[in-house]
Amino acid sequence: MADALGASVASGLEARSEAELTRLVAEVERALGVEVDALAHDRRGLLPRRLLDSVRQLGLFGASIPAEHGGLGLELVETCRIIATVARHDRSLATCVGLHNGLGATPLVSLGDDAQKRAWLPRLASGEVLASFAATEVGAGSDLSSVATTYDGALRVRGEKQYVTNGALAGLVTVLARARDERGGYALLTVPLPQDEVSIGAEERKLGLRASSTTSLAFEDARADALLGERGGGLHHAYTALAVGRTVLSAGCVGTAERALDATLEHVTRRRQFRRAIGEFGASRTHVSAMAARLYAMEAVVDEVARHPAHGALGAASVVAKVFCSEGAYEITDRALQLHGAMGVLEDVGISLLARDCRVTRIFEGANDVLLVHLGSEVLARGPSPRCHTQRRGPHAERWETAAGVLEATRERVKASLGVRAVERQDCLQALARAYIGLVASSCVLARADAEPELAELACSIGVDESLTQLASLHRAGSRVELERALTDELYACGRRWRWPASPAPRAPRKHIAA
Amino acid sequence: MKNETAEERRTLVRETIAELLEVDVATVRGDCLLREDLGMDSLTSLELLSTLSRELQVDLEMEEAMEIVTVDDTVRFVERHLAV
Repeated sequence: MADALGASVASGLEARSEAELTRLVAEVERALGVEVDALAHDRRGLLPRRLLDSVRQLGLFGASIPAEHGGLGLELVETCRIIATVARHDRSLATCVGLHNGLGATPLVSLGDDAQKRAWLPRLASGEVLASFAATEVGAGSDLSSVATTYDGALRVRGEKQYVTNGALAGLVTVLARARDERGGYALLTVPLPQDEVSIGAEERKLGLRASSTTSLAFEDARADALLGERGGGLHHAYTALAVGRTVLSAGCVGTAERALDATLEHVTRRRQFRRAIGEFGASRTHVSAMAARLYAMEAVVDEVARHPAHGALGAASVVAKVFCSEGAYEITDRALQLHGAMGVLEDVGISLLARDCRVTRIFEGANDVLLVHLGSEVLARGPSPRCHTQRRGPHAERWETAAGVLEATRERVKASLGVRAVERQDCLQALARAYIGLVASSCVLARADAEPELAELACSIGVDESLTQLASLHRAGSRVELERALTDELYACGRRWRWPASPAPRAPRKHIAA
Repeated sequence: MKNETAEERRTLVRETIAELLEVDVATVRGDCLLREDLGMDSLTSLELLSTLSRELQVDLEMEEAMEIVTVDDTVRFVERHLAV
């Protein structure tokens, strides 16, 4: 089957029509449907070697790598389709393959010189060598500028990285480090593994994505193979790679959400309570339609962002996709779990695995809270206006235009009242970011709304309503922020000794004294 | 605050940057690139201006923050606004 798929992949690349890609996806779907037992992988906490061999044979490790270096040469949007398909079967496997193709391979593909590419890309494409990306440290989580890992003039790397996906599987890791000299600029370096100067930590035991490898990597003057791009450009290149990584992660969210909807539809149409299939109850229909609408919007967002990957400093579009899809997938899996009732909490049913896997993605590759603050500051300072991706007029487009106008007016009001000090109001930045995300998502939905008008109506209104709700919340934000500050100051001062103030004891009923 | 000398304002800018980034003030030289050398992103740039705005009691435009490239740029930016 793998050989047949390889042939179909090769032919698909010659004329990558939508139909060809759909056929490729179907082939991958069929192959993984036979091989993958996500629950077993989750229990064992690793991906079987035989499964990784199958993925190698399918050519999936070469999805994003140019054909001239032995890969499939897929565009980002096509790679995303593949990763979503893998995620439908096993999110841990999708994380491994997605990280390799996204954060792992992207810096080498876009920054490597010819010699570096010839040395590594064919081996990455075949899956002989798996790629990884190491930026996070104990003291540098979402704040990459704080990295303490350094390199010297001989490209010897010293420091320790944490939460490295594919850490125990990788044969090549791209490391973000600072120059160990007076200037101290940042750079990305490729470090081959294994080598005696790199210690791989134990596998982390995680809430979800348990079968994907996550370890620490300690570098003791480890030998780097090369410096990618120019000296001093490391942070910029890391952010660019992260933008690709976040988009691929978002595609994985789509795949898991699709799986959750599949399972839910099967369950609610078969399971009977009170002499009816539970899907017939209005409360169930609310859940199911919300799941479908959100999924529709998630697919639209990933499709739009992946077709036009943002390679700016922050990659605002990829932040929109990451936040929207990781929160959407978690909402969808949570609704799926609720509709499954008590069965949902049983691990062997598989729904709780989907929810656990999705929960992790609200934190990985940039915690959503931090991403929202960054995006909000961009919206406030640079004022990127969400673009409506359709020329079609109608009630949805009109509502969208109204909400976009409210965002613009709110942004100006905040700037006028707070000036540059608005950046200290994280609640304000996050609300602006969420409003922006809602509008972008609705815009993406409007662009593909012709085919499924009912779904589009629901999905579009979700985004516009969210946007307007967030902007309205800013009108009463000031007093709420003061209350939050006062309460948290008090709680932080108490620490673990915190307790609610004792309520006054209820008075004993007054005895009736007989005259 | 507006009566501080130019040298005092330069020191304040360097100290504020060092405090924001939790680095030794000696590493914050005038020709340092805020992004490439010091790792400041757009959010940290705005936080820098916000702090300076409070310390120097001057209104600073956030759009202009994106144009600041070096530590010396930041000092000149502040000087320009104080002169208004």
